[in-house]
Amino acid sequence: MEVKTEVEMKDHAVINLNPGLFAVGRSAEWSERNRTLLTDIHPFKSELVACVGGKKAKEELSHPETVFEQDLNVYFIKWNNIPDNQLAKSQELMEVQEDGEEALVERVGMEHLLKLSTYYRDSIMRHLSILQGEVLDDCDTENGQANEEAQAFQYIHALWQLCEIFYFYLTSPQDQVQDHYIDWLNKNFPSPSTMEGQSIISDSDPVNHEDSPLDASESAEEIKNLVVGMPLRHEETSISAYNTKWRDWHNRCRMIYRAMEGGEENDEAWSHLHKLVSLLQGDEESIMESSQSWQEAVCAMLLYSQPTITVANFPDLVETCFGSFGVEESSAFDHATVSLINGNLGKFIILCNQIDWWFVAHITNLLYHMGLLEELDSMFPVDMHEYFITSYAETLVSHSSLWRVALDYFANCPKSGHEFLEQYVLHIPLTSDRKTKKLINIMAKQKSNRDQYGAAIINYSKINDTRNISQIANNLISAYISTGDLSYVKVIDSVIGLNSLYTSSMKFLSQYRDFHELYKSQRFVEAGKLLVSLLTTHTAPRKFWITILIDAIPLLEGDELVFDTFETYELMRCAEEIATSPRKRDYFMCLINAGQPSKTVPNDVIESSIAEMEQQMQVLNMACVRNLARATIVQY
Amino acid sequence: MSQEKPLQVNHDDLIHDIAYNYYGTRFATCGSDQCIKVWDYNKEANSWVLNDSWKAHDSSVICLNWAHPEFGEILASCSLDRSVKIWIEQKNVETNSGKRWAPAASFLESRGAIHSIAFSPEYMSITLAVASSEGIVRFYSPHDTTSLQNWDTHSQINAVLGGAKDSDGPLIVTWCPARFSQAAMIAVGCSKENKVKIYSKDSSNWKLLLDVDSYDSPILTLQWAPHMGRSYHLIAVGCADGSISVYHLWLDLYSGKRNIESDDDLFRYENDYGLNNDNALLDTSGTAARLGLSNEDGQYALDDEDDNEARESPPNGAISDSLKSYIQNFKPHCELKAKWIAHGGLPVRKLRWNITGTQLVSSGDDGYARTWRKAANDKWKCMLAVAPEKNN
Repeated sequence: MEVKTEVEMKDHAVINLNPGLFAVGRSAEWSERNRTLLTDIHPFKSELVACVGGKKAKEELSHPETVFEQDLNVYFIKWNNIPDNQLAKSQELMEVQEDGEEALVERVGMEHLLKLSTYYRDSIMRHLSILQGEVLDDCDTENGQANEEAQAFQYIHALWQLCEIFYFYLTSPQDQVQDHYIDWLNKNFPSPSTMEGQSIISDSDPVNHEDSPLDASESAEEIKNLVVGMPLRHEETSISAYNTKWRDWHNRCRMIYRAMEGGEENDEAWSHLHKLVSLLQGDEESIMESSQSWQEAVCAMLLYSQPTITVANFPDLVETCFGSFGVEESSAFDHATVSLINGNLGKFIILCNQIDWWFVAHITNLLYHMGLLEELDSMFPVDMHEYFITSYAETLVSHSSLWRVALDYFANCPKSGHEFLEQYVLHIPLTSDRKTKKLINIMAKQKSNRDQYGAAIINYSKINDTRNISQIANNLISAYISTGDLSYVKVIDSVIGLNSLYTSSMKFLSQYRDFHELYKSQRFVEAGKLLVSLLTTHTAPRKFWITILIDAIPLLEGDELVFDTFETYELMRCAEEIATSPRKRDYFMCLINAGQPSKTVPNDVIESSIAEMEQQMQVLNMACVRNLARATIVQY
Repeated sequence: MSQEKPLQVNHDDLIHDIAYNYYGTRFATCGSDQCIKVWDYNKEANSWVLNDSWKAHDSSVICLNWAHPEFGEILASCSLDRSVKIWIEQKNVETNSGKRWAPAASFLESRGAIHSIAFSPEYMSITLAVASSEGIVRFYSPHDTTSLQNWDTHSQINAVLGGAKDSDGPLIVTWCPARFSQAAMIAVGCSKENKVKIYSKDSSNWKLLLDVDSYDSPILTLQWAPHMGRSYHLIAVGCADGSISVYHLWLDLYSGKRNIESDDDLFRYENDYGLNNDNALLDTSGTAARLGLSNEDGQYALDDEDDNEARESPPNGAISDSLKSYIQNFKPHCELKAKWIAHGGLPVRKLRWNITGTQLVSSGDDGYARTWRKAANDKWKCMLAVAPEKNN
């Protein structure tokens, strides 16, 4: 049969058995003496067991083989082990994940995703500053690792922020890049550092340099004015104003540069100045020469050569700068940065995977929620989103205090997560009640993520988790508000009988469904009584009152008298309570947002929706008054 | 990445097998000293403690396999003398007494050397497959799964036509661990023909489902990965020539073809292609349907490729080319996804999947152990090499 794919045999980690089994180059001899290596993989941890194995049994050998001590050693090799000093990171970052997931559950669009993204970045930053503290603290002792990690986190933060810039802020091809890019560079790769900057300033005074010939110091003065007078984007009110100023300034640079042509080339100070001016007038060659990195070169080009470059043209500039800095020597980080700017997300993700597993899992999660992974589906044989999350989670499973975190990650993967969960959960020996509870909780969460609410509720009820049950009920209520679909409620009917402890929201959902059925079968009086009882017994959550009150309008206006005076008063009381509530707008917003999941509702739509609802409330008031009149006549 | 202090297991001769139990909380070793040793992990002390050590057979002990813990702590062992024994832990007997593990059964039917024994996945109750070099796989189960006494052989697979001898090389078995397939399946590596074959159980008989592949050298190890709800199965084969091969197997009639969501769809679909006729050609489809590896939601793997082509109705009475190729695809089939020489061309002795089938461990006569992983781009990659050489 033909082989379809290649196998990558290079660049893997190597660990030597200690004590070793034979000297380098002696494997053939070792193998000839009836020996091989046996292994088994630990079912739960990233760990394998290995020992020397006899290929043939003693009885099959023509002469007996001496057995040495190392032949009877069993070796345990772990990989993916997270050193204790990194534990905090994994846990802290997980907390973000949990908070973040809650934000995502609300599914309210890009604004919240951006919030989530900044959240992640803040926590990366926090972790980074801890790491940098460590690096400074122990300058002498093996700070290599902390240093390396700090570097990695610096990169992660930089890429994350760049992702934010290009996918949240600069969304139109006509957007200007300069400001964002310079901010990004300054924040992530400050150069020179504050200390270096201080020393530069205190060190020299080019203008009054004693040795300089008069000529040079005159030019220096001029150049100093030029630098100081450079227009900056944020100081200008509009792009065109900035553009005009910048052009003037640029022309001045060129004039000075030209005036300096044929000057005292042998003089060191002069040639420095000449170089400086050539940079200021945006000479590409000089910029490439003087920049320490391609990122810096891009920045210089943005300042001195192409200040108004847009998102559409930015990739070309980056390619040029990147290209002149030797593509071969660049790191995965450099390539990832360029791919991101080029919009090559597939390549970007693969490179992120080389940088850090935590990072790739979370950045793809973000991209996934932004709907950016869909176009890559055909490029990759796996589901990228879940592949990286499950891969990262599997590295955590081994750890005695992180396995729960890992299971939470699995639970957040709707497609393949539950198989992973199941495998791991099955292989966890249940040694305590607490562990069991935790596992049930995770399974329930996963069911709920897969919209299997009935199963989720059953699981939650096993551990009396009312908080999560009401969360599900609230989700169902929101789902009703947005879709008008109550079919889910059937699912919970089967479980509601199990335990009276079910939360009021669950009871409400069930009764509200009953109301609709009564209404459909034209049993209006019963329907009306039920509706009012939902309000008077406080079964209905307040955010749902408006919906109920609007539901009451057709009953108030119908031919049959449904509500008596008392009930009408109740409806009026509730309407009044909403109308006078300081949270009135929130209640309206709640309905509007539920109707527009995962989208930010434009302001004009909000205003018109609110106006419409206000109007309906007016209609309700009128209907109540009319009904009150009818009821009073009937009753007295 | 790290290595813990090695554990001295104190066998009197070379070890032939080492195996973790289901939870990884204990492992067993056996060897030419005819003994089995069981080691328990002590969490408080973070160390492995001997549970018991006993003389298990009258000849070298070759291979071990743990049963699913649902049935108790049960270990099977086979020996060079062709005997197979089932051991059950006696919780009331002291550890390290040499008597903690009591023999529950002993099987002596084999006329050839035994190199591979395997307990079935737990959802099939408890059955031990014993592969003998004479080319036969025998299946043993207890009459009563609670007492685990009175084991009997109830079926067998004659995997090699005309039989085989010890000198032909080992016969290796591995069960299909997928829980949602309705029929039991087992893969058998036959060294005489150098072939891997898949059998499925049809009521009480085992039937050949397909030949996976043939090789240039004896098959020394074989493992079927956990299914994990994928649309395909994963099998890894390791040979004496140092090769590791990884296969994807489609046993599902519909996978890779079309999304079938309801019985109506299925009916229409089968009608479209005359699948409801008594067409002998379609026998395999029946088998495959019974094996139906639909995922949990009852949906079949979706991929619309070729769909349009396949949708054409065949001309009356004749089978069009597209239908022919279509029926070809109905047959359970497999694809070699990757093949590589892993241990310097020396024999690969052991292959083991992790429980999610995302990682494969191999070891071979070069003394190395390596872990392999499938990357996001579907390529296999060596992640870690455990080197046996002494570090100067």
